[in-house]
Amino acid sequence: MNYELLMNKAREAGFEALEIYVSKKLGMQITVFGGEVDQNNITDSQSFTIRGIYKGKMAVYTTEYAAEDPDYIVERLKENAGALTTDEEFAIFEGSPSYPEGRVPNPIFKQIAVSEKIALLKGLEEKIKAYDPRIIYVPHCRYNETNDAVEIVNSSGLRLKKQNSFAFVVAQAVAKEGEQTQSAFTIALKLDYREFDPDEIAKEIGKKVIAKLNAKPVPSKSYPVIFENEAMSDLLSAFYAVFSGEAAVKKITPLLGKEGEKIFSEKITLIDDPLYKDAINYHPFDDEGVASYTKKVVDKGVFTTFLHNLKTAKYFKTKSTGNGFKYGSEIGVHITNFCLTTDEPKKSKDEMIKGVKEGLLITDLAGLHSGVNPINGDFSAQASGFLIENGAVVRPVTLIVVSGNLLKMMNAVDEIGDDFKLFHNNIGTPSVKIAQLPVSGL
Amino acid sequence: MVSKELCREVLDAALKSGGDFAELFVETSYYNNYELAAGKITKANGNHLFGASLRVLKGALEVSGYTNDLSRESLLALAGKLAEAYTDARVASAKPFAETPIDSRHKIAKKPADLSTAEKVAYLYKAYEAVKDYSPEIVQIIAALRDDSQKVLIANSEGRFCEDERYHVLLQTSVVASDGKATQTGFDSKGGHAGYELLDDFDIPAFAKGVADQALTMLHADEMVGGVMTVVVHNAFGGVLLHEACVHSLEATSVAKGTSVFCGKLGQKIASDIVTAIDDGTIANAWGSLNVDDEGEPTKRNVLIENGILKSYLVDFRNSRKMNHPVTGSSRRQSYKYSPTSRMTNTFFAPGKSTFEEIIANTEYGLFAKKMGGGSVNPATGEFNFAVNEGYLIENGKITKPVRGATLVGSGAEILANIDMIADNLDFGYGMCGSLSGSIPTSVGQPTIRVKNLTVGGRGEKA
Repeated sequence: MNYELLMNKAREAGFEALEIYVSKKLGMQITVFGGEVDQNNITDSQSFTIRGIYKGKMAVYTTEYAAEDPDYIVERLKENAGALTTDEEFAIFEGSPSYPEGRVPNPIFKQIAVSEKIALLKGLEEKIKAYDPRIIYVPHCRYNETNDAVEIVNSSGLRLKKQNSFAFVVAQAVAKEGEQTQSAFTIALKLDYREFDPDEIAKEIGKKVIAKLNAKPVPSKSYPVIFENEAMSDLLSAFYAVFSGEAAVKKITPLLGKEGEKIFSEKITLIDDPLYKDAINYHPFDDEGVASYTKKVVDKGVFTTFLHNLKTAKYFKTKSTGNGFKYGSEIGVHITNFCLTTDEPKKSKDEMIKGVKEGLLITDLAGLHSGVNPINGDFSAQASGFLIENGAVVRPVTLIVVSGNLLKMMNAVDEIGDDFKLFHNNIGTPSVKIAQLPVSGL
Repeated sequence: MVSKELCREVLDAALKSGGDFAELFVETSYYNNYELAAGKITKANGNHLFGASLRVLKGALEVSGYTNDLSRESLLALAGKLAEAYTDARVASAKPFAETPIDSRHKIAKKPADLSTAEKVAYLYKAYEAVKDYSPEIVQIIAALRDDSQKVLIANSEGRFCEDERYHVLLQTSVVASDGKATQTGFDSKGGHAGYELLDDFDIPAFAKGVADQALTMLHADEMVGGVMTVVVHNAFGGVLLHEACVHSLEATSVAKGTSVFCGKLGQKIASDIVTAIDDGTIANAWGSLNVDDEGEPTKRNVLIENGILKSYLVDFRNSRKMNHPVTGSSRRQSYKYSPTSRMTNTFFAPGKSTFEEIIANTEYGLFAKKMGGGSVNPATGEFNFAVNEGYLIENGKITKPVRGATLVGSGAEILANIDMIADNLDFGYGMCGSLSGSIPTSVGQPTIRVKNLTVGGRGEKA
């Protein structure tokens, strides 16, 4: 695609500004099942997302066809921009004064032979099965490698490039005892191939799935609930939209107008950190070219700022927080690495469990995409975990529903664990204990 | 898109080192998205997908790859790269094509490309205008419209060559209502394998008012008190329960690996006698229909469960090799970027003999789930969860009051056995189903059904 030609054609057609976002992805996925390779896919794709401002309104057109006629692109953008009636102001970015350092992608992934990656998966599948005779299947055992390159070119003269390479291994184990079947997932994400440790992955997932066997529901009532770090990250991940400037523009967040107010327990601080050193998700700039920086979204319970892209920032007469990221072909507002931390004393998970007379340790939540309402903060999610009695875990629990409201729950935080971990959903959190939540079961 | 000669050349090159089947899928698709929020058009975007995917099988092993470059050099290079995965002598060659022209079952009067953006967004205003002054408690109305036009070419080394065009239109509306303290949302959608005539023949104002009523009713509802109870799941989108809780476990993706709870149960009783479940990809202009699946196989009406007996799984070509089960015209993919596998089309419970009124009158206490939200299932365990977007209590055979925040959890095998009444009011809802081969349009459907002993979650405390 000839970027200069496209920008010239757009200018001639009356466009005020134009931006071309180029994404190139090279990747591979290998799956192993029953000791054999099941699928081996190689992927090579590119796309061009063109955003143009015409008479103050912005339209987006994305194409994977590198030879697409520039006149056609300009015509599509013009027609679509002309149909917009929104009062929102749009912007194509002129550039930040300086940028954090970009990441140099690790070449190791390309250097390791495909046969070695296959051997890693076959070994992992074997090790998971060998962990316990009750593990009957490993339905998913997959290696996924991604090499991303992004380039932003715009009519304000901005030229930026970033690259990233990473891989992950995902495995699912299914265990059976008597009539009950249980399953568990794990994902190991790495920036360096040599860090994959199949023994560790097998042990983690094996332990997880075996502990769930013979689970049953508990009676319906309110219980003190400890969300284990991974379950807590899943719950927060379903709710990050409440902090989005886009939701604020549409008035569909319960935090509207609450900047500067205490919204959560003072024990809670939430940080959005695009520069988290070892994270897969590392961004020197967002997808609009705005330089990234680390910011507190909630500081000791006080809501400090919505996250913004250029458009939502303009609407609220503030600056973009560098959270404009592409979702599909549109720039939305997204978290980068979203971390729950605290200044209060932390407890180990065991200490937290010891303090509970009758309660639940929740390790898994399911159905969050439908069970969560980010407009009012309500949630109802299928959960599983363990019953705690007199300070000790007594048995696994499944097929229960934990319900609540995010704001109320984050005000009822009792204790915060010392087991902080950044998960694959880009949410980092320790385990968190909530005073009481309604649980439906038997 | 790609000439027949080149297709055959690429397929043949892919088979040079031991592959026994090769398939080329070429696609050029246009997707458009429009959105209205707070009475203004806030979004009008286009997306052009363009690429080809090649896969080479040897038995059930699949090697595949895709590219956006459809030149001869690029496609032959891809074929060469994939062939490298095999190291044997040639066992198959690309056969001459027997062209199968498609006589489309789906009449499309107004293709997306025939309408201007202004004409399309007029449908969004129709939804908005109908409810903007409906109630002072309505604080936001968001209407979204999506259309797609997909041209595909499917060619394989067994001599299949076909080209098809698929069109979809989907209108979605959400209404947010608030009384200053609580906030509730209503949502519904209307879609079809159709052009914009779908929306000309549809009462958009009544549809939008239904969405607003849902939000307003739930705003003034009590929180559901959880427990185990009888649940009456209403028709249309209520079929999401069958889709998630049962039929995902009948897809070859879980059956071929031996991991589904329904493995090895063909011919056995897996549901109560009154249950018949069907996946039918042939229904004219239905949201989940196709002329041919993404392997070029004509779609079919597959009876999955008949009077409680398991009759068929949903099976794609590669899994048919593993399972020794015929293909069912069910192989689908979101785009060329996903490898095709067995998926649903339009899935529904067949109508029963009861009426809706009889079901309610015969229920002493329970939940009436009028509008279901989304849900998910773990195919390995069959455990599922669903949100109930609009619910009511049933007390002494009558619908008494609205309740909000209800969630259903259970296991698919259990629910099939516990269906004890089915009404005669079959209808459909429209969803996007996400699974291994991406996000695809699927219809869910059913008449009103009654399920005994289901776990209902809720935030309400017992009085």
